[in-house]
Amino acid sequence: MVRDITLGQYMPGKSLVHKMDARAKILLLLAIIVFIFVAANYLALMLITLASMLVVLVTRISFRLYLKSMKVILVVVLFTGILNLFYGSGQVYWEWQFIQITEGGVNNAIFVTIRIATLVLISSVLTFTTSPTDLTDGIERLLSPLKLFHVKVHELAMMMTIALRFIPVLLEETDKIMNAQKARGADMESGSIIRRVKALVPVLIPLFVSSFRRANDLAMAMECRCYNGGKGRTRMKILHFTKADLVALGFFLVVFAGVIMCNIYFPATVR
Amino acid sequence: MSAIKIENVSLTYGKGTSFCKKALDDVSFEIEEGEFLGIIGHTGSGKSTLVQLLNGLLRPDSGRILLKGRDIWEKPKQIREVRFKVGMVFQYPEYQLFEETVRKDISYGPKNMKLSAEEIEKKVADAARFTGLRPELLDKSPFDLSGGEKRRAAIAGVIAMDPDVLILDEPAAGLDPLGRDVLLSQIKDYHDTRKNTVILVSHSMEDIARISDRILVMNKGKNVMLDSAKAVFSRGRELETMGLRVPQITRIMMLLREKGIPVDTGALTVEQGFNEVLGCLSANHSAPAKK
Repeated sequence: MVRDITLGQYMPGKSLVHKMDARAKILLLLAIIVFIFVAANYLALMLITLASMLVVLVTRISFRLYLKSMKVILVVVLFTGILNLFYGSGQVYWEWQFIQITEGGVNNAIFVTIRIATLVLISSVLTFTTSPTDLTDGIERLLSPLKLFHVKVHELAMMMTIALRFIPVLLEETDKIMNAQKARGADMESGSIIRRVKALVPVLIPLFVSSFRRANDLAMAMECRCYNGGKGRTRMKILHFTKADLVALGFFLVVFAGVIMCNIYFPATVR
Repeated sequence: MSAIKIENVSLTYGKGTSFCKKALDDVSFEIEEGEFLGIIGHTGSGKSTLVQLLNGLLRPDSGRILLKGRDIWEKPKQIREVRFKVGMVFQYPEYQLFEETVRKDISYGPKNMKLSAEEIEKKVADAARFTGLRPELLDKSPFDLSGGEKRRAAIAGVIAMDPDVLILDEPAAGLDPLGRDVLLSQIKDYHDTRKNTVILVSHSMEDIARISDRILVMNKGKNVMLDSAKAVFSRGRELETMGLRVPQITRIMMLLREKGIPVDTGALTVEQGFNEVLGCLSANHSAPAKK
């Protein structure tokens, strides 16, 4: 079912991670992602992965949900992993015509897999623990310096909020329309790819039509409440940096330093 | 033989997650051939789940659904055949329209049934007539129609498949009172002409009471009553505990009875109620006269 998608779903809670400021979480996430790719040997990678796992534990969200969001990208992970297996140099383990698996290839494959998995895991932490409003609010605030270059930061953030807000609505609608067309004998589960794509038309058109209708209604409702962009707009909830942010920042500074030390003192396994 | 027989059907949504919800709990009943069945129930009572089970959009966790004596999940690959036999009109069906013209949209179902061009044309014309769509509307884009016309076009799209059982989930929701009455009487006409089985899900007790042969009452995933409209609404107090309201006229009858006036609480229409009260009044008048 379409409804089973968990990627990017907010799970309310009261953990330390939930209490963090959205801006701090976004910035830390970016830094963590950078360091996931900076880590060049197994020790460094283990350090950053364990730190990410610890964060996952702190969120107190069932690990099953994380696994579920990983499942969505499982194909991508496996695909890149396997592709990397055949790419590299060093001692040859296995050979068949022009294809060969080498020590470097195995290392590459393991690294890429762990990196992507950790990436998804830590990104899920952000979306699971931050409400969409806080998230876009955080992004808006972080991007606000761009206003100097006449980038419409508030409008972009508002568009994002609206898009996020309507994902569940659209999913539900898709489900309903699919059922309605199935009731009229639509066959979406069998046939060639072309036939299946064609079978989607009766779902996509009504979905488009209703999205436009919703967009129209929403625009009207916003105008009725005198929405006129970001200028002079105040906020109901103002973001504050808290002690939780300091703790997280301190913890990850140590981790990052550790990663750099590992990189310096041990030889790199991958380039 | 019964048109549809439901045997000990249970269904739970979101098994194993925190959103786990038992939608249907050991439901069993039979729908007679050619009957007009009304289904009522509070929001979340399982009535929408129930009707989606009947045409194989959902599969029960346990129990069987027999369509003319055959289990519909006997051959899961052929569930489409079941969907052609059990036509389903969803709530707000106008949101499923997608073709360039109304005619093409109505013929979507028959086309999926692989009927010949002539047959399709005939079925479309029949369906349009039953739902009161004027022939000149058939070549318009469905998106240019009015709300009520769109609804009719969408219902016609299901009727055109000529199903043995037609299920309508709140077909009159959001229509104005006149549109409601017209649509419901058209459905009744369709039932009377085709003599097939029609199942109507509705919140409106008045509508259900007026046109159904029997009424099924759902509450918390269970079927609690299945009886004639008169018998069901005479148990008004029980219905109220399930968050259901009886038709206004039945309510008045109930109140009159509580005041000690011996009227029959099974009155379903204003006319029946009127006659009932009139009958009581004349009986009361004649009684003291004899003394």
